[in-house]
Amino acid sequence: MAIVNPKHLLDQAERLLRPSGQGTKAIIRQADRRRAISSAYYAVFHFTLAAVADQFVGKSERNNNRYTLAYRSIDHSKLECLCKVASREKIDSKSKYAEFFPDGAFEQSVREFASLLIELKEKRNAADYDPSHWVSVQDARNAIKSASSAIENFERAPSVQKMIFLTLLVFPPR
Amino acid sequence: MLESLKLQELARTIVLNRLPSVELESVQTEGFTSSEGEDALRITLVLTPETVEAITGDDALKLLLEINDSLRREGDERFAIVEYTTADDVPVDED
Repeated sequence: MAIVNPKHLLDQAERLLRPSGQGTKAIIRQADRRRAISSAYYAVFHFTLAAVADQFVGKSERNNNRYTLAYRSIDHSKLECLCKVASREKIDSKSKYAEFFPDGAFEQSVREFASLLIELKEKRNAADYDPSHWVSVQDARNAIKSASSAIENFERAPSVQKMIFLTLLVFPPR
Repeated sequence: MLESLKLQELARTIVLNRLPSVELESVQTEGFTSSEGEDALRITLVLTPETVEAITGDDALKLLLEINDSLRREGDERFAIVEYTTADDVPVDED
């Protein structure tokens, strides 16, 4: 199966942050810092796509083309749209999402996961497309650490919370 | 929207409470337009090189959430992204 392993994207991001050159001339180039940020975002993004396809088609069906359909059904904007609501401390009772939210909001680990996705999407956008944006080494390192923690914490979140998040992602209320 | 000084004070208070082992040199804030065309906020934390590695992924996640929760409680609906840097990491000629 050719599915992207999120951990491998984070390993790749860490490799990119090793200095190039020798001695006092050793630096971590902007190109590498930017690619590290992008890999950190894509680690969380691909983790989410796999979670969706595992949930609605099944992990044992990863070689089935229905799995690919489910995996490809989520785009960046659709994910960000849910994350903006899911990251909130308390959802507006008038929101179309309100009736589906557990106790008016998700628990901390899901809210952190949603917040990080929004943040990394913005950072990736700047890293990939904004020539005036300067990326610090520490920000790239923290992006990798945060992405790793967010994935681990989401995996440990209560099943019902994960199920609601993934369901709202695939079947958003109208 | 909160003004810059108030934003810096809010971010500084949260960082100092949540990450007592890091030394914060300064906080910078700037508004920007997000990739979705919405008003957003960039908060840059300048930390000392000696303490910056103490921040874990969990620390950064909790800080991000707490800053955004606090902004909303203050009536500022902009999403804030948090960036980290150190004073010794500056742009250099890469040619």
